[in-house]
Amino acid sequence: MKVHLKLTSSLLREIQSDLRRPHPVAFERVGFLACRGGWTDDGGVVLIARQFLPVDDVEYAEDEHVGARITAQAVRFALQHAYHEPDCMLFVHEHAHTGEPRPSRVDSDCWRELVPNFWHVRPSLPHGALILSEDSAFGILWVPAVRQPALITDFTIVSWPLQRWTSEASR
Amino acid sequence: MTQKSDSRQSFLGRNSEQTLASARAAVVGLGGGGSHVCQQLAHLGAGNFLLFDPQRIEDTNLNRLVGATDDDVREHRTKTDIGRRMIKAIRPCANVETYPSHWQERAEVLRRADAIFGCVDSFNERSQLERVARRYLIPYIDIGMDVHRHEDEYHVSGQIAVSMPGGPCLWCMGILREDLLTQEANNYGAAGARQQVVWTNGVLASTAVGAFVQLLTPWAKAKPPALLEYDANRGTVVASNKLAVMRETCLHFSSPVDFGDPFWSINQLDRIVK
Repeated sequence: MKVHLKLTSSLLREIQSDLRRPHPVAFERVGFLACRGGWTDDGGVVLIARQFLPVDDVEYAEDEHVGARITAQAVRFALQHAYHEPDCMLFVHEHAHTGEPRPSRVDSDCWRELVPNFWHVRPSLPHGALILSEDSAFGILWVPAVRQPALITDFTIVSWPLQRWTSEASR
Repeated sequence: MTQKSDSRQSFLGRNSEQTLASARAAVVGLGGGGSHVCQQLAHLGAGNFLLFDPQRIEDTNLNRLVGATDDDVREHRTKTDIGRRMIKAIRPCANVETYPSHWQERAEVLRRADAIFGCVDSFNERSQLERVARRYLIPYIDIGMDVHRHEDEYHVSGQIAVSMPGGPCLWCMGILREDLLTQEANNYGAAGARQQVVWTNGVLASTAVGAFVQLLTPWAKAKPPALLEYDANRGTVVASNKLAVMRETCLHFSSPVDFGDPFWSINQLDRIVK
């Protein structure tokens, strides 16, 4: 399945400016990206990022084994959003380097635990995760009833000029 | 790829050929304007085309439909077939998908486009196309032309509008107005059925393709104006005066919920793939 994520440059800047702020106890920041979307004629998915939900400072827990650990309340806040809005939710964080980011084992473990929760509140939509780097991205999407997750193959930052990234991981 | 062709396009940027080859352009309306757009995109090296037009060629189209032949008229070929043949003749490796139907019947196809060229006559279609483009964050490049008779003289004018998500839309620019949608004015009003507008269409299409090139391969630092106005009587294309009083952000498409398919669900997957 071909998955294409689009977001405006202004939303990307908003995400980056939040994720790059230092935190007193966490090594990195995380957030949730709410997307609308649609199928394409060939069975692909176009995701349109529409809102970034940052995690409040107080919702980070101290844990020296991971970059960021967030509280159950922070997850509930994102779940509540998905309950009220028909949005596909992407759990997002950033790797501070250039080039295409790849998920760590910690990332994968975290997604396996976190993402299925969104199907309890919004079972009709796929949900997933996104890793940004300074000039690229990696994304993954789980569709209910389809065991194999789909990688986000294409990213478009809608600005002048357009920035288009194709995921090497999906090739 | 020869060294000669590399050097020819180098001012567009180091990866411009690859960028254009991977781009997917939708051209809606393959009449006088859209056929010019297709021809130029093919010469540029655009690699992927989505062509929409429900019509078959008629003899009255032959004076302005680029790439069409007298044989096409006799065979009553579809405009999309003529467009595909022209593109493939210029660039055999191009991926050309043709949809000889109203684009609204295959709206899901448009979602795959990197940019949409609106080369349609009707204001209603423009309005609908822009709405789809905004929903899926697709830049929409619109061209339109009018021929008016004023006293003893014909006046030919047109516009090239670039509607970028977040930026001014066709409503902000005054191209779309409620009264126009209601009246659905005929663009070619005074020109008659055999409009001799191949050169004016060429100017509009060239300028629109220029915006597309600049969008993908920003060879010039200055961003082109969102609205350019063409005066064929004077032979000028200038930035519209309206830009001075236009908001930089659009209030018509400012709702953060107006994205994607409002009924999007995994339950639709079977229907779409079939």
